[in-house]
Amino acid sequence: MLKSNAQPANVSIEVPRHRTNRFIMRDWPINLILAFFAVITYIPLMVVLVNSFKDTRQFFTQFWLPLWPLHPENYGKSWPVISENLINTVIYTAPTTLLVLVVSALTGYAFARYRFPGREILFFAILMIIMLPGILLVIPMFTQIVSWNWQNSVQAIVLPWASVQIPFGMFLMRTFFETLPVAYFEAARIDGASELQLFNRIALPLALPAFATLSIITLLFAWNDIIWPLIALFDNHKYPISIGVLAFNTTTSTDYGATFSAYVMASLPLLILFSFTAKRFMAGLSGGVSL
Amino acid sequence: MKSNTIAPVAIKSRVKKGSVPVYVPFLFLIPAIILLTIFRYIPAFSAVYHSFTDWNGTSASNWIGLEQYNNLFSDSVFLRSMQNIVVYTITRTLLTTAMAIIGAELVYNLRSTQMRSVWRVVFTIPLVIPTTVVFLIWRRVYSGDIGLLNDTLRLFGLDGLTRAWLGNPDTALWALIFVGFPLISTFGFLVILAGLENLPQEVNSAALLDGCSRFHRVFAIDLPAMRGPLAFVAILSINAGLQEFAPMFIMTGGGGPVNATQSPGLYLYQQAITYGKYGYASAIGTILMLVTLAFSIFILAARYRRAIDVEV
Amino acid sequence: MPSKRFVSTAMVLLFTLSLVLAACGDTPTTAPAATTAAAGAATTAAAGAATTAAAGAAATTAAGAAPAATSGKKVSGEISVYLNSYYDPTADKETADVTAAIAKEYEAAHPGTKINLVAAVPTGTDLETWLAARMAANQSPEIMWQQFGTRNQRASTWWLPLNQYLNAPNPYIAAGQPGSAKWSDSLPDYVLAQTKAPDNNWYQVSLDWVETGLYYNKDIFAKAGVDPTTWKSWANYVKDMQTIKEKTGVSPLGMYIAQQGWSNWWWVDDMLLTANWGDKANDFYLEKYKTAAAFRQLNPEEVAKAIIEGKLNATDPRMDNYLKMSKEYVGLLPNDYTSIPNLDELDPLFYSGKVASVWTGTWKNKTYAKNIPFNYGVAYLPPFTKDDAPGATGSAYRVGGPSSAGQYGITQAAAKAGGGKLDLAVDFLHFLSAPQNFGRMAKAFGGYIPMVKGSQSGDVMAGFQKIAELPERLFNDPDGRLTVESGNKWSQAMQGFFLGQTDVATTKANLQKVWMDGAKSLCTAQKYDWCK
Repeated sequence: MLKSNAQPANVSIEVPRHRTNRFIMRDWPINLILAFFAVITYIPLMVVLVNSFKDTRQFFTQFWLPLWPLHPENYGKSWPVISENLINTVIYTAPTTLLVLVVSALTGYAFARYRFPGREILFFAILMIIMLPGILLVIPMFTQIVSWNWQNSVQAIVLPWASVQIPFGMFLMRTFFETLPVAYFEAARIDGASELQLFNRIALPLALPAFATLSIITLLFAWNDIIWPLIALFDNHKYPISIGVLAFNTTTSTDYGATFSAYVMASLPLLILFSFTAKRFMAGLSGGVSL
Repeated sequence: MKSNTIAPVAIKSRVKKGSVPVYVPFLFLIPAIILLTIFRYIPAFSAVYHSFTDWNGTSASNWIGLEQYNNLFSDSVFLRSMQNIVVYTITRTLLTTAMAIIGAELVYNLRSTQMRSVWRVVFTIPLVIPTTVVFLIWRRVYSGDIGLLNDTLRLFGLDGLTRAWLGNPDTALWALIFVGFPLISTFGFLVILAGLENLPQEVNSAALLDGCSRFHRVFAIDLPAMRGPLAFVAILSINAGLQEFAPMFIMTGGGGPVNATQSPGLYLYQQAITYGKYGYASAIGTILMLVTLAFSIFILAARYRRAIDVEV
Repeated sequence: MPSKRFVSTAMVLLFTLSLVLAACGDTPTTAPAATTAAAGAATTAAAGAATTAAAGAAATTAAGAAPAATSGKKVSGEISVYLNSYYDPTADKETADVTAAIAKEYEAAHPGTKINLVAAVPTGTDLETWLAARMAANQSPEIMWQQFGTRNQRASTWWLPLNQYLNAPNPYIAAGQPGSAKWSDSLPDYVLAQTKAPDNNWYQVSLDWVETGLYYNKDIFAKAGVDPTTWKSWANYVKDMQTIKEKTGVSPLGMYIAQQGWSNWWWVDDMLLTANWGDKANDFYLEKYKTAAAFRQLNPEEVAKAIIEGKLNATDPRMDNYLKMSKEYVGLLPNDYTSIPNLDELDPLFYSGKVASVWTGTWKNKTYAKNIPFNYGVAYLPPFTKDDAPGATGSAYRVGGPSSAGQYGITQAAAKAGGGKLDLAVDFLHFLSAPQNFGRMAKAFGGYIPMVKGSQSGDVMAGFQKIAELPERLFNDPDGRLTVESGNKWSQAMQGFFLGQTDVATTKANLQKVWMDGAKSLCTAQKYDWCK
C-alpha cells in the first residue's frame, strides 16, 4: 500500500502511453536545443579530462584540446597520493551524511507535522544559520574544538560539517513531510501508534527519496570544502579529497597533469553515484520542494 | 504563540488540540538544537560580540561600542562591495533561475519519458566538477590574451568587441555573473524540474485542450504553480550570492580591478586574515547577515499554507 | 520495497566501512605521521651523518670542519616545525628526505627530543587562515614559516623577537666561522636589514633568498632583432621592448598588477621609485640603521619619517616622471595585467609565446629548464641614467629578496609554554641554520639561494651572479614600505591610474594619501620617539 503512495512523483512520470511513443518525432527541436546546452555544459568536464593526460609543457601550450602523446602516467603518479584522501573522505562523509539525514528528518518532521508554541521562530532561527558567513566562524569554532582536544579527529570534521548541512536538510525534509497525506498519520494514531512509531514506521520509509537528495547534496559539499578540514586536521595523511587533489600545487611549481588526473579520480565516485541515483534524486525532489 | 509575519495563513489541525503532549515536538528538535548551538550559534554570537571590539584574532580585545560600524559606513570600499554584491546576487539569481526554468521546461515538454531521464542525468553529472576548477576554466574563457571568448568573437569577425573581460572595470563584475553559463546544470534546475513533474497531469492536458499554447501555458499555469520551488531556489541562490567570495578571490586577483568586483565576503576575509582586523571583519559579517536576513524574510513572507497534523 | 533496501543497505555498508577504516587508520592524535623516528632510536650523530652522506647529500660539508653536533645545552621535549618547501613529502620527496634526515640527526644527538616536521600546506588552499586559526588556539608549530612582510605586521602578537639570540653565538657553527660568535654574523647585512620589522625587532631568520631576472624567449627576441645584452639605459630597454611589440605583435613583458597582494609589478614600482628618488637616499637614511653598503634599502621607519617630515612626498614633481614611466611600461604588459591573480597565470602566456618575457624569480629555474618548449635566456634590466630619471644614480638595482622558503620564526606560544619548548626551538633553529645543515636542504631543493655563510649556492646562482652584485633598490615592495594594507592601497591607486580612472594630479594626491595614512598608522602602532 505504502509503495504506490510513497512516490507521488512517479504518478506524473508514468504518463499515458500514447504520449510516450506516438509523438516522439516532434521532440527533436527540443532535443536539439538541449543538446546544444549540454555541449557547452560539458566543456569544463572535458577540459578536466583532456588536461589530465598532459604534461606541464602541453598544459601551458594548449588548454582546451587534447595533445599527443598522452600522458596516462599522471594517473599513476596521483593515485597513490589521493587514494588515501579518498578513504579519508569516506570516513568523514559517511557519518556526516548519516547524521545530517537523521537530525534533518527529526527536525523537519517536528516542524512539518506538529503545531507548537514558537514553531515559526525556531524554524526561522535554524534557517538563519544558512545566512552566516562561514569564514567568520572558523576561528571561534577552531578554538572550541581545541579546548576539547578534538583537533585532528574524525568528529572535528563530522560534527561541524553536519551542522552546516542540517539547516538546509531540515528545510528540505520539512517541505517533504508536509506533502505526505495527513490521513496516513491519523489512521496509525487511531491504531494506537506512539509518536516515535509514527515517525519510524510511516515518515521514515516514505522519506527515502528525500534522503537520496539530501545525501547527494551533503556529499557535494563535503567534496568541495577545503578550509575547515585544512584547519582542523594536523596531519596531511588525514586530509580529505578536497585538499588531496591540491597536493601537486606548490609555491614554486604546479604539476597540472597530476592535479587534473586527481580531479578526475576524485569525481569518479560521485559521478558513478549520481548516474545510478539520478532517478531517486529526482524522486526526492518531486515531493515538491517548496516553502 | 505564533509568528504572523512568517505564517500568514491560519492552519487548521486535523487532530484535536492537546492529544499529544507539548514536549513531544521538542524531543524531535533536541539533537539539532544541541549540534547547532555548539557549532553554529556560539561561534556566531562570538563573531557578533567581536564586532563591538577591536579584537585582532589572538590577544584580548577591548570593547569599543559602535566604532567599527561607524568606520564601516564611511568606508568607500565596503560600500562599493555592498553595491557590487547586490547587483551580482540579484542578476545572478534571476539569470540562474531563468536558465533553470528554461532548461526544466524544455525537458518537461519532451514526450519521451526515456529522453527526459537521460537529460536529467546529463545535467546532473556536471555538478561533480569542483568549483575551484570551474573558476580556473572560466579564467581561460575570459582571458584577454588567450581567451576562448575573444577567439570566438574574432572567428565571427567581431574583433571590435574583444577585450580583457576580467581586467576591465566595466565588464569584470558581469563576467563573474556569467560564470557557468548556460547555467543549466544547477541544483535549481533539478528542483524546478521535479516540481514541474509533480504538477497534476490533468491541468496540463486540460490547458492544451483549451488551445492554450505550450509557451503560454508556462506563464499561465506552470510558473504560478511553481511559486514554492521557485522561492526555495531563490532563497538559496540569494544566500549563496550575498556571501560569495571565491570567484572574486580566484578570478580577479582579490576583487579587482580597483575594487570593481570587491564583495563583502572577500573584504571580510581580507580584513580578518590579511590584516588581522577581526573586529572590523565581524562588523562586516554582521551587516552582511542582516542584509541576507532582510532578503530572506522578503521571500519567506510569500510562502503559503502547510498541512499540519497535530496541534500540541 | 527495493528502494528502501537499496538505500538502507548502502547506508549501513558505508557506515560500517567508515568505522572499519577509522579504526584502521586511527593513529594517536598526538603522533602525526609526519613525525620523524622516535627520539630514543639508537643512532649516533656520526652514524646519522654517514647515512645522509650515503643518501647523496653534501658529504663534504657534513664531515667537513667538524662543527659541533650538540650545543652542550641540555634540551628535551617535543616541537613542531613547518619548513615550507623544504618539507613537502608529497610534491618533493627528495628534499623532504634530506630535511627529515637532518631532523633525525638532531634527535639522535639530543636524546629525549622529538622534532615533528609538518608537511607544507598545499598552495591553493589557505596557509594564512590555517595559521591564524592555530595562532588563536595556541596550536601553531613552534618554528613556523611566514612571509616576512606579513610576519612583521603580526610582530610580537604572534612572534618572539629573536634579537637576543641573533646577538649570541650559534653553537652549531664551527669555531672561527661567521656566526660562531654572533649568530647574525652568519647572514649578510642586506638580509638582516630587509627582514627587520618596523619596531626594530627581528621576528625571523631568513636563511635563503630569491634572486630575480628577466626570463626571455630567445626566438621572439631574435625575430624582433633585440639583444638584451646591449641595453644601456632604461629608455633603450623600453624602446627595444616596444620594437618587439611592433614587429611580432607579442606583449613583450609578462607582468601584472593585482589589486590585493603581491604582484611582480611591485618590482617595477620599486625600481621606478628608486630611480626617481635615488639621489635623495642620504636624506632619508637614519643613522641607527647604517650598514656597510652606501646605497641600501629603506627601513619602514625611515620611509614613515621621510613621509611625515615631507621629504618624501607623492605630490612632488618627481612623481610626474614616475607616473609617466609607469604608464609607458604598462603598455608593454599583456591585456590581462589588471586581473591576473598570480605569477603562475603568466606561464600559459609565456609557454605559448603570447608574452616575450617574464620577470620572475630563481624558484622558476627548475621547472622552466625542464618544460619550456623554446630557447630561453635570463637577462636583467639596464641602469637608469639621468636622462631616464633625474633622481637616478646611474645604476641598475638588484631586485632580490627574502620571500623564499627559508624564513623561520618562533611563536610567542612556544616562549610562554615553558617546559623547555623555547630552548628546544631555539636550539633546533640554531642547528637548522648552520651551514652544514641548511646547505644540504638548499642544495636538494635548488630553487632558492642559501644565505647562510659557508653554504654552497650551487647551480641556482648561475646567471645571477652579476645581478646579485648590483646595489639594492632604495624602496622595498609596497607592502614592505610601511604596512601591508598601505601596499595594497598603493596598487589600487596605480590600477586606477593605468585604467584611466584618475588623472596624474588625482593619482598623485591618492598616492600621497596612501603614504601619509600608512606612515601615520605605523607611527601610532610603533610609537617611534620622533612621532608625536
